[in-house]
Amino acid sequence: MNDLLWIGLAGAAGSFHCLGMCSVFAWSLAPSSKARWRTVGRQLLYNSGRVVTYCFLGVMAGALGHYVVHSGPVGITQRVLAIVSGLLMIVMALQFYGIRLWTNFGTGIGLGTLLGGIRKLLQTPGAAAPLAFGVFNGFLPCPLVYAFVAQAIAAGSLGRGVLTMAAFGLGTFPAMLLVGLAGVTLGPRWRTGGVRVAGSIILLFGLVTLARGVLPMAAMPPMLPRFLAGPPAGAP
Amino acid sequence: MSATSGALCSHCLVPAGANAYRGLVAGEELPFCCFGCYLAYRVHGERGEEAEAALSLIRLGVGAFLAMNIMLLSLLLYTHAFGAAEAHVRRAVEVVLGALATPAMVILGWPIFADAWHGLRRGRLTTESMIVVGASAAYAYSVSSLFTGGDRVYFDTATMLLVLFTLGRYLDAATRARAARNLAPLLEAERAPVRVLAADGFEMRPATQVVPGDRVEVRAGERFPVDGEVVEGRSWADEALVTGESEPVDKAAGDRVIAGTTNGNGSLIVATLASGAATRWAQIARAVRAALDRRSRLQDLTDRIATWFLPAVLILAAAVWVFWSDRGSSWEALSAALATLVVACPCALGPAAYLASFLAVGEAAGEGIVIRSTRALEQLATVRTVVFDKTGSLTRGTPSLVALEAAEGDAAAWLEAGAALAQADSHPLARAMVEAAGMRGTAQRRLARPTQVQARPGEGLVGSVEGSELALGSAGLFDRLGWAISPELAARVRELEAAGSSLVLIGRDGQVGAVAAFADEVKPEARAVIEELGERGLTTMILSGDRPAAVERVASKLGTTTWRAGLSPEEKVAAIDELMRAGRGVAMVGDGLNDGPVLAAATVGIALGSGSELARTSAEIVTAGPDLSALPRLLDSARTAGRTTRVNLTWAFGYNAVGLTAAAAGLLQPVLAAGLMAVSSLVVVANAMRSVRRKAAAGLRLEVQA
Repeated sequence: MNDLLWIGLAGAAGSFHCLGMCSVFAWSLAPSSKARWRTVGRQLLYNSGRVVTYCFLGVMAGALGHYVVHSGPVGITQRVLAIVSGLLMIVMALQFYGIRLWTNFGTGIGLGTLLGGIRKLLQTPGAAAPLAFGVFNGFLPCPLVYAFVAQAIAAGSLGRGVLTMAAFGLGTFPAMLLVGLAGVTLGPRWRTGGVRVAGSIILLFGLVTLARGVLPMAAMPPMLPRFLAGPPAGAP
Repeated sequence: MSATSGALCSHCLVPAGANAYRGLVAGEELPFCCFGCYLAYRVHGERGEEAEAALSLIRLGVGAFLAMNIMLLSLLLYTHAFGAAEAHVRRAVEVVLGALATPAMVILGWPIFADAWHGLRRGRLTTESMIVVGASAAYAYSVSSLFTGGDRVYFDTATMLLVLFTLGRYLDAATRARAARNLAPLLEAERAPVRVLAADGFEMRPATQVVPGDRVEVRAGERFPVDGEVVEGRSWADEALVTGESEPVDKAAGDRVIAGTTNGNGSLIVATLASGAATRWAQIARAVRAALDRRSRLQDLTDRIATWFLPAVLILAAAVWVFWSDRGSSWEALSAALATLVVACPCALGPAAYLASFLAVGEAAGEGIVIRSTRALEQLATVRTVVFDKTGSLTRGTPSLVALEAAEGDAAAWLEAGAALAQADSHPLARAMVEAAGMRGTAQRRLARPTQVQARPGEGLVGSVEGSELALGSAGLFDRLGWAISPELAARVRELEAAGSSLVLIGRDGQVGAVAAFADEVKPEARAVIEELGERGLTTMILSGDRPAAVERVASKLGTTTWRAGLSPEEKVAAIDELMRAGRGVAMVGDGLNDGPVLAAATVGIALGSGSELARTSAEIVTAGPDLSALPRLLDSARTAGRTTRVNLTWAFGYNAVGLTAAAAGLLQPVLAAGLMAVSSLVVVANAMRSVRRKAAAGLRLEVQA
């Protein structure tokens, strides 16, 4: 479980980014004035919706990784996978520093439609709306999510994929709940710093993942958490 | 409105046809062209109640939530995350799956089931029917296997099928609505309310019910609903959409305004001259709506295929089930049959056939170009030869002065004298002469008034100007009058005639004194357009009724080598038939009125909208103005649409073929088949969108200032 703990912590650190992007959503999920517990319920449903979407993405990513790993000699495919995922994560991490390799990413047909729909859901009362909203929110293009999806691909199996994303999603839970319930917010300066922290952590993950593909096993730094070292190459 | 019976889809504004899907929005039954549009309307609908609109989205969101949970658990089952020792866990998971799937079936399936039932009652087997059969088969089998302790459940297939189908429909509808933004002002033209000045303020009326004499207020930025004359106010108008004129035109009291053009920055009161239904704008609107209503050849084809396809797939799925029941376990048989049913769903075929053409027609309408049917667009893409009429198409259509020779004295003075007499006549050459005199600046003072003017039909004019007898006309006229002509001038006349100009001789008091040569000038953009067409691999050709010399002059200026002159309309039709028999698609470009039969004979007739009435031309494509430069773009647009459609159809069919084979062979998991089905639709929609965006990037004007 050690490895998942690390991912959860990374997700928590990454939620500095969420505070910028998604806190608006959490606030505007029309808080129920009648009873506090209902507000809690709405926030929990919203976040559950989000996490389920992440898990779904995780299982898909894991399936892809699984497929790739088993498409050739395991040791090699795993390394290739680690290199590709590592690079993807690094690219995503660079976005947090304002370095974009491509612009206008993900402004396809779906996005405008998605946003239009989301806007409607925010003002809708009832228990189902926050849940549905969370589900759609999870699909919003987000470098943080992409980075961890890349990590889930590298995990190389469905189970590990879904657990990676679940851990990440749960990691973002506390910050988002705090935002939604207590209206906690951070000043722009803090947020800029926080986003840099998030970027650094993803960069670290990316580099380590990349290293798993590039370095020989023996050269892996011993103090790395077990998960970061990954399963020994050639293991099932 | 009359030509295309049936209502418009409330969401994407496409004619929904007689078999419109009727959806209940805020207690009101509205027509929709499909279920997807109904869904999208509910979500984006501004007129529907907010809460109700969100309901569809909640449905989709909660359905997706359930489906994703089902997917997670199912995938874990597939990968044997629960070992053989944990059989009871497996069983529990299956029960949980069933518990999640049941609400998902109700939440997501309800509208689809309703739609399938709706179609069935009208005797139509729709794609929804297939989804319903697939999803309910999967669900029913899974439930029974849950109770009887069977070895497989397919809750994932059932729910994913519903989620993805709903999503695909939704995206398709959203895309169409986006495309319809170009068309919206056109399609709304007749429904849009107009502020008519009444005794006590304003009265809102649809444009069709505005009659001549009504005074209409048009505010800044609005579209003129009727043809009329400005009574009050100052503004300017953007008339590009109707006349092709790109510069703003100032409008003040007394100026004419054209329906469909856009008012600039001032509010105007306009006196209606023609009823709102009789304007060119309304004609464009009707023509475009008719075009979208008329099914394209490909659409007909795919429809015919689908009619046979659906029952065939059902039979095939049954056959697959029987076949595999004999050879494998019952779940293997059901898995193969389900996958067959799901993967064969022709969801992508519909959008594949129409979406690209639809976008192209809408885009062209946004530039004022009317394409009467998507079929015309499809055919334009196959054209190999472009045939031009000369007069009015390649040339301006009005003669202008190209040479002026006098036997003795000031040539300009002769022109002025001739122009003075020419004022009395409306022959194009007479008008050209007056205009030329004005242009040369010789007539800064007013031209003298002619008296005792006799018109000699086909020959010219004779009359009296400032005391001397003046004659104007062909060489034949002067022969008959017996007026003398100097040998030098006679030689010049022969020369100019050989060059293909139309000549007007000017004589005074028994002596021919000057000759003016007129020619129909080539449009400035014509040469570039011919070259551009050449670059696109098209041969160009001129068919004209004019004299060979005149046609040759134009042809040499344009760099085209193929031309035929002196043709009657019948001969032109024969020439086009000949080209078409040689297996070449022929586009005929004409002014739309005189060459009606010729335009109709060609594969595609293109009328340059130089003032011709849309209703009176037989051309399938009518441009906004006399400008030729729309042609290459139009051709590109048609070819892109054609290519996109072909790619999309190839993809949709090819994917179905491969998918069917794999599924029937039992190689495809049903849930994977559901995923593939959704991907297929997405690829088609994205591909059509991409083709439009690429053109937008190439600098095409897409947006109509609505």
